[in-house]
Amino acid sequence: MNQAEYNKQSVDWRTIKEGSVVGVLAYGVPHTDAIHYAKEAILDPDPWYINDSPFGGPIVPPGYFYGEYLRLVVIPNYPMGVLNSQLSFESKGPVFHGEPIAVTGTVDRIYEKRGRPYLDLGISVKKNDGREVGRGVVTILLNLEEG
Amino acid sequence: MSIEPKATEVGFDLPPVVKKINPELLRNYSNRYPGVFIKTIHVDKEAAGSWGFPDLVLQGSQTMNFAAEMLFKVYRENWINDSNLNVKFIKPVFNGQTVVTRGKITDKTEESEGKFRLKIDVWAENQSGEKVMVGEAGVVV
Repeated sequence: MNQAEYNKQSVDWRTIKEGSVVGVLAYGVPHTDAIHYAKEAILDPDPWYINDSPFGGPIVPPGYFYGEYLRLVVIPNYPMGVLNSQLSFESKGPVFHGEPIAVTGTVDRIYEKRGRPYLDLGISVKKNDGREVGRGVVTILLNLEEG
Repeated sequence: MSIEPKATEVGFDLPPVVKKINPELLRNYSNRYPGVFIKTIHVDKEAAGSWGFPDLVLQGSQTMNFAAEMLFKVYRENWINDSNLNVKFIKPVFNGQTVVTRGKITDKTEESEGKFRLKIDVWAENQSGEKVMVGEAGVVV
């Protein structure tokens, strides 16, 4: 399925409710995935990401979580849109390879601007003890007509 | 690891990060999501073409990662422990293009005794010098 086909079968954006939880992804970033991400997806094989860091072990690049919105929106079959227009992210501490975390997506805002629908999707990354180590918002243009 | 003193002063230009965009790099980033099997505009030329894009489109969050690399290389633990990055994507980046991220400290305010919050203008350009992403970062040092 390509992106246009996916968007056509996704839920109507008008049914999306502000404040609703889009989904929760509970996982640990496996050591091999973290290394692959650093070396091959962002081309930043920093030793802190690969071998060890002053935090006491190799850490996951904070940017790993910038793109998690894409996995979150497909959980409730929300439209993926085609462009993300704005993204913000706060980093509040390290996440270690394999460490259990929960990434939660929430609908912060759903609105129309110049006749186009937008979703502000909040993303929170928490450790098992409840401490938030990352927080962000991505603005997604939900519907762009195909050319 | 300590931060160079000049990297905490207003006017400091962060060393840029340069990335040449190719299909493998796009695939390695945008195809990494387990359970998502959708051919996106980032990895499928036909999908990109259906929206009128001439080639594969770099995912905005991947561009943001390049800016984060630039900031991390300078601010290290501080970047991990207490930082923020807010960006807008203003122009698409296509396969074959080159992205250069840049940053300049614009403000420094005392947050608590001995701790300062730096405000950094952040942007990315394509190989023609056109801005493709603009924004601002903050980091406590």
